[in-house]
Amino acid sequence: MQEPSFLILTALAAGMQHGYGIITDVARISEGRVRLRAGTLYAALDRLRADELIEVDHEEVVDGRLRRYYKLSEEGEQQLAAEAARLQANATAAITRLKAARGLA
Amino acid sequence: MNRPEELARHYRQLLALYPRAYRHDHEEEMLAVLLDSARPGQEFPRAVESLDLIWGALRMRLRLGQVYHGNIGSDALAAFSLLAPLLLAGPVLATLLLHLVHGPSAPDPYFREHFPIISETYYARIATARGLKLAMAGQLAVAIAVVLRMRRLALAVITVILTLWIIDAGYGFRSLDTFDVFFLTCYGLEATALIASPGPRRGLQLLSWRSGAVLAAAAAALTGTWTLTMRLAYGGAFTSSGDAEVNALALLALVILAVGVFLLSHLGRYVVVLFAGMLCPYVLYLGWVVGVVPVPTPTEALTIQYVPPVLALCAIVAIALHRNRRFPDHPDGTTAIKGTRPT
Repeated sequence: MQEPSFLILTALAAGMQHGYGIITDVARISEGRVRLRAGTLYAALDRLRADELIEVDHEEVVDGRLRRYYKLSEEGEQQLAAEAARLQANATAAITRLKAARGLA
Repeated sequence: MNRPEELARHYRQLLALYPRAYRHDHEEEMLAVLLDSARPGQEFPRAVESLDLIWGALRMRLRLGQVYHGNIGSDALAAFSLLAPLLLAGPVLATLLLHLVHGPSAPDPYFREHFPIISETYYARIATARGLKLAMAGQLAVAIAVVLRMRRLALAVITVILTLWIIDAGYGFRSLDTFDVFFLTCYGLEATALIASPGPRRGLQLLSWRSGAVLAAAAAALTGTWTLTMRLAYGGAFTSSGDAEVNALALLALVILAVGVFLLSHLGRYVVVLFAGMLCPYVLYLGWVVGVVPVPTPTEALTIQYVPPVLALCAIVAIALHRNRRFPDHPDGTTAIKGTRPT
């Protein structure tokens, strides 16, 4: 799973969000390292919808602007959990080996 | 014109690069995100934003790795990319299995009695034509790939087979027999659908039990019609009374299926058109049996051969149209999406 997709799913794990909300949340989650642009965001959202990882919850008009809210699907939750576990396992292995290498040095 | 309106106008110019159908669904939403993201007093899109939108529009137009929901034609092709290989896999698999079990010289009476639905012509040719074997095996591989929702793998299989065929053509078909027009056409249609649509994953999303019933009927009609038209094309198999009985029963089954699907699915005229076209070869055959229709020439018969695949595509389009109609457009001009609650 690519990092933007992972971060978008992570943003939606807390609850449904609209496009701009996802952008700001992804920036917050990544501590400013990943700043999604609109074109990139909507390409990713379309791909995630096709993979049935997210779905549209509802839409509303705020100050004359259309907002469409996306939410995580059940499959999206499962895949996010699996990806998070995989990343965690990799990180744990890396840290363990680094500690061992430093201990030997 | 104030600054926000000026900025919105510039953003719309960039969004105009996206495909029309995509804009219809996403333009207002994307514009809202762009305006929300704009800095105070900003009058023009920033360079990085412009590049991002241009790149996004380009990817969406090329549809490479991109998926777009909501477009009828795209949905129809997505369903077709899933179903066309599956429709063809049935008779192909049966023919290959028969060939493995009985060898190349299966007795004709046995074959005709027990497996009238499978093309005798293909069965006979498969023993000698390596290109045909390759095409049939490839068709099975494509079917497996689309069931697993692996669009790129399916495309890779088609590309490999077509490449081998083309290379062999350069050497005068020394290794792979000759081009098989039917399989070549099928591969072409499948590749087009796989490239120009979100692919089988989206196709699976579109299917419901009603569309499944239509497609099961279409598959039965396609298989039967394929067999019949192959016989028409290559001739020599219409002299036995058994053929007339088999095809009369197939005709009756199709009519019953058509009426059943018509009543259950509410697809209306689409089903009528679909099945009327699929019945065409059977009617021609029965007309020939009773002496009303002259015996078709090989060219005419080959033309009829293309009716079933085209009609299968029509079935998919009809289903896609039917599904889309269940989620009509919003009053504000945006297309409703499954799961959306209009405000």
